[in-house]
Formats: sequence, C-alpha cells, structure tokens
Amino acid sequence: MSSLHRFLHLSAIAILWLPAPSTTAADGAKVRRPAAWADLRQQVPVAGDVRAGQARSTVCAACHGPQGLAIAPNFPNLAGQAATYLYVQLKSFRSGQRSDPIMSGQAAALSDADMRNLAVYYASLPAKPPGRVEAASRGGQLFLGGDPARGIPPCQACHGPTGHGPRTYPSDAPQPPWSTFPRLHGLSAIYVTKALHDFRNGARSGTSNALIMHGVAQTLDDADMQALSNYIATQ
Amino acid sequence: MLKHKPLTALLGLALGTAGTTPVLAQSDSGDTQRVGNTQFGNSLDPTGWAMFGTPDPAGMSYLHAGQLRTPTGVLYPWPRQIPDGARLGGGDWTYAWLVEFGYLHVSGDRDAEFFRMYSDWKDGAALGMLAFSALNHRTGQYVEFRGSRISSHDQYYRLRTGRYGDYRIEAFYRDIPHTLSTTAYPLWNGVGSTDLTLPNGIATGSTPAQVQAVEANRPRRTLSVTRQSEGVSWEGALTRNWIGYAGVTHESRTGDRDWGGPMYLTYFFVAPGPGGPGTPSLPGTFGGQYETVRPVDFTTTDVNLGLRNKGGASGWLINFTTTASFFRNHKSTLDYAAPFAVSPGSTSAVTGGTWSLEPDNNYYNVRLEASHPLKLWRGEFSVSAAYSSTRQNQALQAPLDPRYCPSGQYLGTTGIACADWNTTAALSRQDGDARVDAGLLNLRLDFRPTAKLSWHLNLRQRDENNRTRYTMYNPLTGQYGYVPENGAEPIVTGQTQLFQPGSPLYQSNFAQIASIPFSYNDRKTELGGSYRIDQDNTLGASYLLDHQTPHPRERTYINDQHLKLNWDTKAFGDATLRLSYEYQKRTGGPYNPDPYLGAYSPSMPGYLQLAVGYTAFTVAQMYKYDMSNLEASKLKAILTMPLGTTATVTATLYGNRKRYGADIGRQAFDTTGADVSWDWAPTAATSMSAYAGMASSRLKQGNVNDNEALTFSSPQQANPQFGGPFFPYANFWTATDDERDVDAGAHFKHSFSPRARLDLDYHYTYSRGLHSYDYASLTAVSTVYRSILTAADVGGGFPANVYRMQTLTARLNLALTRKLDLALYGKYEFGNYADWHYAGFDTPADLIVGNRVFTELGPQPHWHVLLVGAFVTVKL
Repeated sequence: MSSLHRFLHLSAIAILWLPAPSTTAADGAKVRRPAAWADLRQQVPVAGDVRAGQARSTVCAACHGPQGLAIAPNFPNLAGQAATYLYVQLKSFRSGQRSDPIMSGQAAALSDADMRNLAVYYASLPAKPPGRVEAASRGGQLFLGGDPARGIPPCQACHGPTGHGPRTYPSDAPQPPWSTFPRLHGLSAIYVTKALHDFRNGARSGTSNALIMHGVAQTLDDADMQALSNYIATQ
Repeated sequence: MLKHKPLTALLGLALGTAGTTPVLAQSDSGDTQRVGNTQFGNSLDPTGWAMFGTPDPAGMSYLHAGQLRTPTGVLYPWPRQIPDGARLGGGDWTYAWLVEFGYLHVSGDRDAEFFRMYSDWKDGAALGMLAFSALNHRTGQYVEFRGSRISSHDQYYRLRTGRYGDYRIEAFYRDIPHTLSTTAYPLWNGVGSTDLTLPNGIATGSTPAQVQAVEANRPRRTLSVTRQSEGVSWEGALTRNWIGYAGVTHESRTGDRDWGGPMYLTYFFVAPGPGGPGTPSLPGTFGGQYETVRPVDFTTTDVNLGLRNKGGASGWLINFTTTASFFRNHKSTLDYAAPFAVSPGSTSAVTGGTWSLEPDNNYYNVRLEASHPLKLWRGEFSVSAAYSSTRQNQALQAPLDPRYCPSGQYLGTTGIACADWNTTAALSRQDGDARVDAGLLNLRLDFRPTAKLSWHLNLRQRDENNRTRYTMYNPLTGQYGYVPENGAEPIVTGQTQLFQPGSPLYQSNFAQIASIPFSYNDRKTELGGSYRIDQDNTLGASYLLDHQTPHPRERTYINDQHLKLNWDTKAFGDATLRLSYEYQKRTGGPYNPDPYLGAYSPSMPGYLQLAVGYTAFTVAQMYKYDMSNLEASKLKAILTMPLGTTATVTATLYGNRKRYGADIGRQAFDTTGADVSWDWAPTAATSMSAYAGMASSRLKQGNVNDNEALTFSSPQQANPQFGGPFFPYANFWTATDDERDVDAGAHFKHSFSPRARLDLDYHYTYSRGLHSYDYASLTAVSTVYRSILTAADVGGGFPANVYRMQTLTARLNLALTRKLDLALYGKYEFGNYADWHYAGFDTPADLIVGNRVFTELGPQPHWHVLLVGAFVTVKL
C-alpha cells in the first residue's frame, strides 16, 4: 500500500468520528475579534484634587446623588468607590471603549484633570453603610466560593470578601492593577445585573479588565446573575 | 462535569487568560497516554508549527502585564496570537486554514552525509505547511489537521479531532529519513535483498588485485533507512471519573545499511614487508572479513489499551495499562558470496556465508498503578505492579548455507561434513522458544507531617526471569557446540568448537554447548525527605539501597548504596541555586571470574580434560564494570538568575567521578561539564537567546594480553592469575578515551513591523575524541602483530577523531496582503570530519585490503552546503 493510500485510509477512519458540519455552504463571514481594548494592566493609582472634583460634580449629582448615592437603582452609587476605577471608567466613556447614552456625552466634556478630580472626590465620600448578607445563599456561595465544576471563579478573589475591594499581597511576580478593580459594596441589584449582562454579551469589553469579566460572565446564567446581584446589593 | 458544558465553561476556567478562540493555535502538548510518537515536525519545521505562531502582544494574561516566571525563575514564553476564524455554515463552527508551498534549491556538497543524515533535502517543490482547524464554540468540538512535506521520505501529517474535556482522536502518518552513508560502493550485486552475489568477473578464490579491479568500477550508492509510521489513538471520558484510552501505532523501517560478513580473521597472517618490521606489511591471505550490506525491512506494531480513574473510586486514583508490541522482520536472513577463498591455493568448501537476522518477537506488559491518600500526616500510599513477557518462537536457521557449503563437501581437513550442518536437522529443536518474563512491585509511602517537612519510603522489587534454554546439540552427529564463522574457522585453524563425549577427536574440546539464561532479582529500598528551613532554603536527603542478585553472574549479590543531598536556595537575591551531591558505593559478594562453566563442555559428562587443561576463561582480576566495586561522587549546581523582568541567565556545572575497584577492566570514568544560556524576550516582537556548553569525559581501562605461547601447549594456560605465567605483568596495558564536546549557538527573532519578521539561528558543534594507550612492554601487543611493529609504530595512541559543524539558518517572512505571505528561507552549513577508521580510503579501490572488503569511504572530510527556498503562504 502506498504511503498516500495508508494516510488516506487512516484519515478516513478519523473523519468518521467528526461531528457532521452544517450542510449549508460556508458563508465565509469573519468572526469579529473584540474591538481594540484599553490596556489597564500597568495603570497606576490616580491622584487628584477633591475640592476641584466636588466643584465639577454638580451635573453628576443629578443622577448619582449629591453625596454619591444614586437617586435611582439603575444608576451606580459612586460614594466610596475606588478612585482609579472611576477615573478609568470616565476615560473609557470619553474614548469610546465604553458606551452609554448619557455618560458618553458627559465624559466627552471632561479634561483628564477633571476626571481625576471627580474620581478622588467620589472616592472620598462615605460609602453606603453595610447591610446583612446571607453567605449561605446561592449568590453568597458564588461570590465567596464560585463554582469550580462550572468554571465560575469566586468574585471575592478580585473584589474582596465584603466587596470593599481586593486584598493585595506582596509578591515579586507581575501584579494585577488592583486599583482599577471596582468595589462592589453599595451597588444596586439592578445595576449589577445590567453590568453582568453587558459583560456577558460583549457590550462592555473595551478594557483588559472588561475582557476578564467577559470571560467570567460567560460562565454565569441568568439565575446566577440575579442571585449574585441580590447578594451584592445586601453587602 | 465538563463534558456536558459548553466551551465557555472551559474558557471561564482560564480566568484572565488572553485569547478566546483556539483555532489554529491549539496546544501541542504531549499526551502521556499516547503510543509511540510524540513530536511532529521536519527539517523545515523542526519545532512543529512554532514558526507559524506570532507572539501575542496581549501577553499571558489580562490580569497583569509582562511574563510570569516558573517557580525556579525561568520566563514563560509569550503566548501565540490566535488567528481570525471564519464561520462554517450557519452553525457554531468556525474554521481557519493555512497552506505554505514553495521551491527548495540545494547547492554545494549536497551529498555530504552529515547534511543529509536526517533530512531528505533536494531540489524541487516542497509543502512547507498545510493546516486546517475548525472549532465549535458551543460544544467544544474541534478538528485540526497539520502536515508538511519535503519529499516522500521526509514528511508528516496529523489529524486530531475531539471535544475539549471529553474525548480526543488522533491519526498520523510520518516518514523520517536516516542516511547512513552517501559514499558506499558495495562489492556485491543484490544490495537490498537477502542474497548478495558477486559481480561479473570475480568468483570465490579471486585475488585481492582482481577484486580491487572490479571494486574500482562499482557504482556509488547511498545507504539509508526510512522510518515510516502511522497510527491512530483515542482517549475519552467514559464516566465522570473514568477515562479510557487506546492506541495503535504501526512503524516500518525499510532500506539498507552496513553489516558484517565473517569468514574468519585475516589479520593473523599479516607478514612483515620486504624491509622487515616497521615497513608496510603484507596483508594476510587466509580467511576474510567482509563489510556487507544488509536489508532493513522491519515493522513494529504497538498496541496500548488502558483505563484510569481521576478520583472518586473510594479515594483511589487508578491507572491500568496493557501494552503489546509486535516486531516483525520481513527479511530474516542474509546470504553473501565470498570473493576470497578461506584457504588460498586450495578449493575451499566454503564459498559464502549466511546470517540469521533479527527474529520476530512479541512483547506484552500489563501494569496497574494506584494511590490513596492517608489521614496520617497528610500522607499518600501508592502501589504499582507490572508483569511483562518478551517472547520469540521463530523457526531456527541451519548453521551453514547449503549453497555455500553443499552436501558432499567437507570443511577442509577437519572431517566435518557440510551435510551434517547445512539443514535444520542439525539443530536440537526447530524453533527459538525464547522467553523473558519480568515482574515488578513498587510500594511507596509519602508523608507531610508539617508544612515544612516531607518524607517518603519506597520499596521496589523487580525480578526478571530468562526462561530461554537452548542446548547446542546436533542429532545428526551427536555433537555439542556449533561450527563458527560459516565453517571458515575450522578450515583456517583446524580448530573446532564441537564437543562429543566418547569421541577421541572431540571429547576434550572446550566448547560452548548451551545458552546462558541471564536473569536477576532487584530490590530497592529508599528513604528520603526534605525540610524547608525558611522561605528561601530547602534541604533534602535520601538513602537508597539497591540489592541485586543476578544469576549467573560473577557475583551472587551486589549492594549499591546511594546517599543524596540537595539544597535549593533563593538566598542570593532573585537567583535560584540548586545544589545536589550524590555519593555511591557498590560492594558485593566474592567475585568469580568464570561463573558460566555450566554452559560449556567441561561441565558435561564425558568431558575428558587434557593434560594441558583448557585456556583460562579470563584473567581472574578482570572486574566487569557492572559487577565491580565502585565509589562514585556526583556534584551538580544549577543557577537560574532573572535579569530584570525580561531576561534570564541559567548556568549549570556538573562533575561525576567514578572509581572502580579494578586494575583489569574499567578503572575510572570521569565527566565534567558546564553550560550557560541567556534568554531575553523584551517584547512580543523580539526574542533572543544564546548558549554555550562544554562537556568532557575520560574513561580509563586496563587489560592484560595473554601469553599466547602457552595457549593449547602448557598447563599454565589455565592459570588465570594476573602476574602469573599466562597473564604476566609485562603484558599489561591501559587505554584512555578522552572526549571533549563543545556546542554553542544563538537565536534572534524580531518583527520589524506587522509585515516583516526575521528568524535567525546559528549553531556550532564540536566534538573531539582521542583514544590513547600505554603498555608495560611490547609483549602487551598480540604476537600476530609483534612481527611487524616497533615501539615507534605502536606509539601512544590513535589520531584524534574530530567532528565540527556550523549551521546558520535564516527565514524572512513578508506579509504581502492579509492573506498572502512570502517567506525566504536559507540555510548554510559547513563542517569538517576526521575519523582514522576511514584513513586511506580515498577511492573505491582502496576499500579492498588483503582479504578484507569494506563498503564505504566514510563521511566527506569537509563540506559546504547552501540551501535556499522561497515559499508562499496563503491563509484565511
């Protein structure tokens, strides 16, 4: 048997195991790669002027409240949020890597200094008081322990056990940009649910952090998201 | 369980890992359960696909920039970029493909043996790569095909399909060339077959001059073997915790290679030249030594079937494997005609010889491995048990070939009739009936009583039982033993290696009459542990006692003790230093230099010892190196030092010192080596590395020439003592092998822009071997040479053997369009080679030396080769 025949013979055996592809002709349509994303991996913590930020916050207060506590649950509470996270989000809205009908327009008018000042101002405000969480709830289990069998990592690994931000540790290895990770404590269930859906469907995938959350959110079904949102809202 | 979940679940497991679609970028990691082949590549693509990968600037993780290091400080490589895929139909499948084809041209010494040794380079079209990959994002199913072809002897193709976390099926086909000689001028016709015949113009009884005249016009041939293999394997999850695997690999080795052709020693009859000792000698005219060419036509079929449990069976982890290997030789004999008469001036009964080549054989192995955690000290108990059997039972071949020793003829004046030895009726049985069985039991306990301390105890027992028994008995003659060298030895010397009780002619002959069934039992006991002193320092120690009871061997037992100490430290800044030291001491029972007498005629009833006895088997002080006492020390230091965040320096220094307790036999073996390497990967677009290494070794052994004047003529021939009359001190000699190897190289890879990428590789290899010797007096030289040699001729050693090669490889990749690349490939290789074994072989006629016929002139002493190629890459 010639070498070609032997190879064809073996190939035929293996091909029998292939899943049947669609009988329709390949449409050749390209699978879109994610749009260019902002690399936050070397983002350093930001500094700014709290007073200048407060002065610039009048418009923001219309939705996010005068003390950074939102007037409605579809808007995020900003009080006590990580400053670098807030700065990065404003920057993403302005550069188009994150899109929102209101925020995209608002951020377009801000200078880099404005964004830093606003970020440190809201970070300086007292966060919502802690609530009572049910660690044994489904949301609590996912938040604290994840679900390894389904590939769901625990949220607390990056967002901290109480949602007040990550617990950092000294290491010689390259470090994640801890300051860019948001504090989840104080966010409403409605806002968290929307954010998780945006991550899952790719609407929020414009930064390296969003790409991490894109991978995480794809492991979650709707019920998981609801359970998590409810848990986070009680933190 | 993962098998029931979409691929997204798998991706989720890789939290923070850059990349989404593994189309055409799947890992090529080895499958530990596969049968046979693990590496797919060829000379155009030696790393198997790596050159088609582009490092991803996104790096290893969305979580952090920069590359991580292994625990010992070595940088992980940049991950490869994932190419875009296209949708296949309207479903969830995406696919990508790539084809690279082009033309290769070779100039210079294209037939140089070392250039062609493992590559079938030639002018012509080549398929650099053909690759296709498809993935179903929803189900995790995938198909991947990859292939490359330089020629029909140098190519590979592989198809993989499966579903991540569930099953995998793989099929492959591969051809690998192995060129053994490009300067072969075989004297015989029929090369490649089992029958080598003499060319026109010569017949048995020809003179060296006649054979030389014919040899001078023999055509040049290349001797090579092609290894063609194909296989299919499967691995899949059967239940939640049970995984099954199976594989079949079939490999054929076909071609031809240099081989031997004994017709008894012709050196014995070397005579001084007309000018007396020291002048060019006259070659012997008896006997004959032939370098023939044998066919290679083997197949090996390996079958592997197994089952493993990854957890859950009451806490047991289990792996059960059955393996079978079937070797078949489709050309199991080689006959060759002899151009020279065994005894000149008379018509010789023996006009050729025959070989029994490797017999078909089967190997079976069944193995069970299991482990279970223990509550005590966070321990683990593991056990493995295996049984294997190697068997062959092929029909045996007659000692002599009836064509070359026909019935009615006799071997010289010995009275030995060809008819009594040229059929299988001369054998005590018709089939090999050979079998070696082995059993293994390994028990191990591991404990980690504290976070800092761990220790283990390992007991291993392996017994090998050679069940083959063959008695060399000829029912036609009633004789034991065999007719050596195709019957040539009896003709030349009048000596036979036959024994027959009651026969005045044969009853006192010393002859081997049975096979020697080498077997052994081996018990290893090891106790070891490690202790972490602090964050930066760990100490380890272990003691191993290896107790062997081989039989029949020179010692009834051997105790090999190994004490190992190691220290791993990070106390020197960022660097990791690993130091290890091992001390080995081997002792054993009393040494018996001749434990094999049971397989020789003196052990037979009816053996009548002559007054002069029989020649000592060997000198009593000869210690075989695996049985002799030994004291050894091994020291090794490995330093891994990060330089900033993008570079690493690694240095290794080692030295081994072995002292054998013997003057006769191996005395000492020392090796020393050092290497240093530097790797630098500042960005995804640039990487560079350089390395240099040196190794040297010295092997020293001693021996003593027997006093040939006493052989067969004096009872003192039986005295085995060193310093006695048969092995006098004056005949002592030593030999020293010094080997030095140097290798160095550099690699540079840079993407000047997304459109232009350059790969440069340089390698340098140097090897020098020197074989020198010393002797107590000229009586250490065999009497058959003493008449032609002076001390000046003998000297102190052979000329050095040298091998040096340098290779520069470059590949420039230019992206013409998004779908079209142009690749320019160049390889320049040059080297030199010297081996005194081939000294004086300049033309085919030089291959005839007295009654000796050689086949090849040897590798080209100097060579320069330039290989250039242009390839077009078309991709989705």
